Amino acid sequence: MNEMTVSFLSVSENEAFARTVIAAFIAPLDPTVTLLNEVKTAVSEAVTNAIVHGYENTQGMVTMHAILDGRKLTLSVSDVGCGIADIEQAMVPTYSSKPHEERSGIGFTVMQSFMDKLDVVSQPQKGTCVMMEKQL
Amino acid sequence: MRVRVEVKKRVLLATLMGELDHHAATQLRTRLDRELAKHKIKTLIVDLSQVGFMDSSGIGLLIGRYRQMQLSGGRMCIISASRTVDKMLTVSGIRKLVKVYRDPKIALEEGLANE
Repeated sequence: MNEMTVSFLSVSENEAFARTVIAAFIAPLDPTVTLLNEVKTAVSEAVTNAIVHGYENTQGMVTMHAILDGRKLTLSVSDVGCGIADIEQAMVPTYSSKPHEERSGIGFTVMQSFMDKLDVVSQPQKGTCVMMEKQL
Repeated sequence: MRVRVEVKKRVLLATLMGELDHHAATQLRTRLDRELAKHKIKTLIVDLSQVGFMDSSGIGLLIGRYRQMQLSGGRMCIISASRTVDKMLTVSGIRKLVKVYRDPKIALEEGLANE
């Protein structure tokens, strides 16, 4: 059993930082390259969402929390930004609230396909928490 | 992320190297658009074979350039090699829009033949 929490500023440089942190956290399990990349991609999507949508490119803190229980990884990425009014709409593949910024709108689709489980909790003006699980 | 840009006639080969995420995509967009306009490019080839990581922001960048090439009456294709990038291309559905090659030489030859 292992657990970690890391908080960082919502700047785009920290997308790579978050991927590196999660990769290091699960490294002792010696996951396959495919599994490792799937987890890194899911984290990258969630952190990008927090930066682009949660804080709408203003500055705030993003928190990543992860628990390893055997080979089961549970992780969450949360922000205290603007929140999502309509989660169902946000999760529709290719829907983007910012299409003019060339967002592909498939962030949640990618998280869903690369992880075993995805849950999104959000409240307008309070923030968003994305929780994911994966067997490594 | 680094990018190498080669222009032959009105074909542009952009070789991307490193990790293509939201951070990299934002910077890359400006660079590519400048080159596309400067050389009045008809065929854009994006080589992803040296990209070790790509998320949906990379897909956003690719679809954006694809639309732009369409608007100007041009075309675009992608070179892919790594399994990680391949999976992202599949999940995104971009294969329905953009042709994916394995060999940059073939993509380049076809691009030049279309001049």
